[in-house]
Amino acid sequence: MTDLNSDLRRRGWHPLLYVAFLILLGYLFSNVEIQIEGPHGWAEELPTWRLDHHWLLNIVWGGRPVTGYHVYLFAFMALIFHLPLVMTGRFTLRLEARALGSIMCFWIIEDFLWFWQNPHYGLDKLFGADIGWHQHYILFLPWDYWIFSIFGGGLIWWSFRTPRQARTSGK
Amino acid sequence: MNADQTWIAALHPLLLLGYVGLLAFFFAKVEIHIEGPHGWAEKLPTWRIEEHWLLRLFWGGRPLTGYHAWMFSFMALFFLLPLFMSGRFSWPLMSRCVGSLLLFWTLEDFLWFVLNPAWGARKFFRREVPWHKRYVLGLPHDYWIHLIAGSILLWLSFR
Repeated sequence: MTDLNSDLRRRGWHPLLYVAFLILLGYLFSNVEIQIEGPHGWAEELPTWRLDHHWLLNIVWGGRPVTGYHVYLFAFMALIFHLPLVMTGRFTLRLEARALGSIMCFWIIEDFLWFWQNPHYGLDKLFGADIGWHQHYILFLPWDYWIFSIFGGGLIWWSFRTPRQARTSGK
Repeated sequence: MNADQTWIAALHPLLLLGYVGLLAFFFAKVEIHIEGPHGWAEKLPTWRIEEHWLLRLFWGGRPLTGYHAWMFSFMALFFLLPLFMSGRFSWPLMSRCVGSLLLFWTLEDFLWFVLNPAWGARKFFRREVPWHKRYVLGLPHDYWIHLIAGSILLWLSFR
């Protein structure tokens, strides 16, 4: 087992395997949400409370409605991405950065795959800015796709970077 | 190991159990906001197989839905995240992941009833839940299987 672990790290497969795992999680959860929402995106038909307009939503939520479903789901996902820290009993800044970066990238992958796989939507509608709850676009994609991809990707990259001390000592 | 480390090591299983409980609470709330009073994905726009001999054998006689097929796969994989995030595989960590998953689903299911205004603990204990068909000692039989197997796996992982 130890050999397998060290081999994985030495050859730099760990970041690739990890990103593939994140994509798989995003793929599975996009299918979960398609089974929940069908053609009615952003929890439109779910039996949950909904706040459609508020000035705070324009500032911090991209102008989208906030629903009970999204509040609890986002809280749950933020917590479960920290499960590895709790389970292993190890807290480091790099692991925390990996968890935060993963949350950001997971949501973007999941959202994108939701449109791609949902028979009622498709990528044409996403790229055509034909989605009611994605109100701000930059270069054919919702603006938060760019922000979360850049920040999330940066955090994951930093979390896998070999620490300076180890680089200089040649380890 | 100094005294502080001994304390932390002793608290670690409790901390993990508390965290799994917290996750179960939040996901029970998520599912209540998805399903409302209509449990077991009754009103969701998903496919559904009501009867099959395999379901009686492996699924407690419950209907299988697209929602549950995707959700259970997702959650099973998600609880393996510690292995992928740390890049280390060990049998104790694997055992901890699977044990936590079993306890998570049992707690989550129970909290779904307790926190759901359309249900409540009373209906649950009175066996008014159509998709929990077999009870043992006042609880659905799969609760016992998951609780016992999950606890053993966690105990082994911390031994």
